[in-house]
Amino acid sequence: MLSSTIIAVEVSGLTKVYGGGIVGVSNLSFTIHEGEIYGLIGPNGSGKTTTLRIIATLIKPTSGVVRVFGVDVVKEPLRARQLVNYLPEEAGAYRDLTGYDFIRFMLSLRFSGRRLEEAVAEAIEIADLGNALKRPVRTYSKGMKRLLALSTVLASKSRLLILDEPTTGLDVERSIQVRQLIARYNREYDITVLLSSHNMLEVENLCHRVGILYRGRLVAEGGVEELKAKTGSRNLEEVFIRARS
Amino acid sequence: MALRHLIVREVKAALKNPAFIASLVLLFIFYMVIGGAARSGISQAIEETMRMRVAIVTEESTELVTALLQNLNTSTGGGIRVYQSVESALNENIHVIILPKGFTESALIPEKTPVLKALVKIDTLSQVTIQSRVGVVQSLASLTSSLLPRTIALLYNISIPPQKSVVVNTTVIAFGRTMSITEVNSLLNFAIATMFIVSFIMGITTSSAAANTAIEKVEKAFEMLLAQPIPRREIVLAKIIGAMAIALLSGVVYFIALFAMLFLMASPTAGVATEGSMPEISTIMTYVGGEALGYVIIPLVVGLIYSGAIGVIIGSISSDERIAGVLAAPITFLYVGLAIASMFMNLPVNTLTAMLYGVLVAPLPYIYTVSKMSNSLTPLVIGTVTAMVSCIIIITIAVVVFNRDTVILGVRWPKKGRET
Repeated sequence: MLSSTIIAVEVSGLTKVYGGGIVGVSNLSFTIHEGEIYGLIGPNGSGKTTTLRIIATLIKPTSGVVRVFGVDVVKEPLRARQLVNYLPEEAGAYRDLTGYDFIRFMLSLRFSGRRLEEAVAEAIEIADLGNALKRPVRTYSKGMKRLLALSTVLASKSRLLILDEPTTGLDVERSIQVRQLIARYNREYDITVLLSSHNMLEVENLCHRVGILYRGRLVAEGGVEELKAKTGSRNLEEVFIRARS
Repeated sequence: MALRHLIVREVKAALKNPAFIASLVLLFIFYMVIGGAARSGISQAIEETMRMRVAIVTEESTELVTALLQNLNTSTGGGIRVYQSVESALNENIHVIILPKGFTESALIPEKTPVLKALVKIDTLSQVTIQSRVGVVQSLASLTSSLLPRTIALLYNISIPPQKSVVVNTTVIAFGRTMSITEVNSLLNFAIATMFIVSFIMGITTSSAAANTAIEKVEKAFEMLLAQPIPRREIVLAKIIGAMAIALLSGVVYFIALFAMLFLMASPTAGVATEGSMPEISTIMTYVGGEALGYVIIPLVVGLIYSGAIGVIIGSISSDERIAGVLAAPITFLYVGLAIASMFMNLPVNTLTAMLYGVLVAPLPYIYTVSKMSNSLTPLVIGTVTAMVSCIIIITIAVVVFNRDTVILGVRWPKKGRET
């Protein structure tokens, strides 16, 4: 599983300072190997979304280097986007499109012809929304929208998936369904996953390695069991509390 | 009680929105500037009228004409200059009045109406100045009408009916081309109407593009879209073209509805007015021809692209459709406001003016009409090229904005909370 020597994500000295001098992340460095599920955890305002947005080429760093499979995300953003797909926090969909049209639209930006048809069919299977796919997205519940968005991200089978709090706001049943999907795609297609979460249990069960962010800095990093042992903690929540202090 | 709290909340939400406050300030500044420009144009027109020197060419030399000229000169405070020929008078003056052969006879015979001929030069784009120049000639005819009975009474000791008026036939030399005042008005009305239609549709495009871009952010699909492997310029162009299509559709439906309303409102006698509009169309066809269609289509297409790109910029820097709407509203008013201001500003027809009109896009039909009237392609070419360059610059700015953090984060007002 973690035997790959190919580096999927290389973050080195990453700093992001917003207007007004607000620091998003400061001198952040970590590496993710191909096939890993890497979890970024931390409280609100710790810099998780900033980090994910930079890796997804949505915003630019103030300094530092980010490479995805060796491609510099600042110098070659279009090439990087071919390797990455991104599920933003609370990702939704176009209200006036039907679920089916949304899937088709998003995947048509990556695929065409037969590959598009296959990807659409796969996304429909992942979303598992049945006849609801024929209804406009505005009639969907939050969980249905999340699944719809996630289905397009997973069906793209990009080499790196960046998922910003993929289960936030979802009920237990939907959360389990989403976690199972992420684990399955990671396992079956060797897709690298970088996700952020507030849910320590989710991270503990799903991620191979975690990075703990606090006030824009990486305060601890490693395998879940390794961190627990190092800090003498019983679970990831305790690891977080001890690492922070 | 609850209603009061609800109202207070609604008002507070708007007042605490920095974009709303900024838009109010911008709106105020924009209209102050437009008002100032209009005032300056009106002042210039008034000053020109006050400095007025009217050249008079007499085609007959009678006692009455000489006496009338003396009275006119006294009444206008020495504002009359007599010339031997029309050409020399036109070289030095804006207004030339010709007292034609037979004027004295017409003045003295009760059944006849004395007629003056007038030539007015137009070399400005200001509607105010144009109308004031024509007005000067009408005023002089009116003054002549009032002075004529007195002059005749003093000279010949006879009286003519006081209601006998002097008619003035005005010919306009607009940008070197001779035409009647009705024809000039028809052409300028066509240009102004086109200018307003273009500015109106530009307003719809900006609002629509800004709202659509901002709504996409609210729907939370925007970040997913931007993370796809497609160049940002394609997203920008798609948004501009989409906004153009929506604006065209809205514009067409609006104008059809407007015409339908006017048609339904028209009384049975309104047929006369419809017939009256025929000379305007024939004037446009005579002086402009089929090119008139181009005078509408070119500014419309360029204006749609231009305003669509501005809308995309507004939407991309706004965090939601409320802020986008607040920012787009003054811009929409600005198109119409600048179109109005361009009618007041006493601008000469030169390269700078053509460039200014090109940058604003909406007044292009005006500069096209003037270009046609003056038989010079230069203003048309300069205006069109400037408009196209402006479009390219604005699209480039939109693409640049789409490649910056602002498109994700929105415009960041100071003293906000910590980012995640």
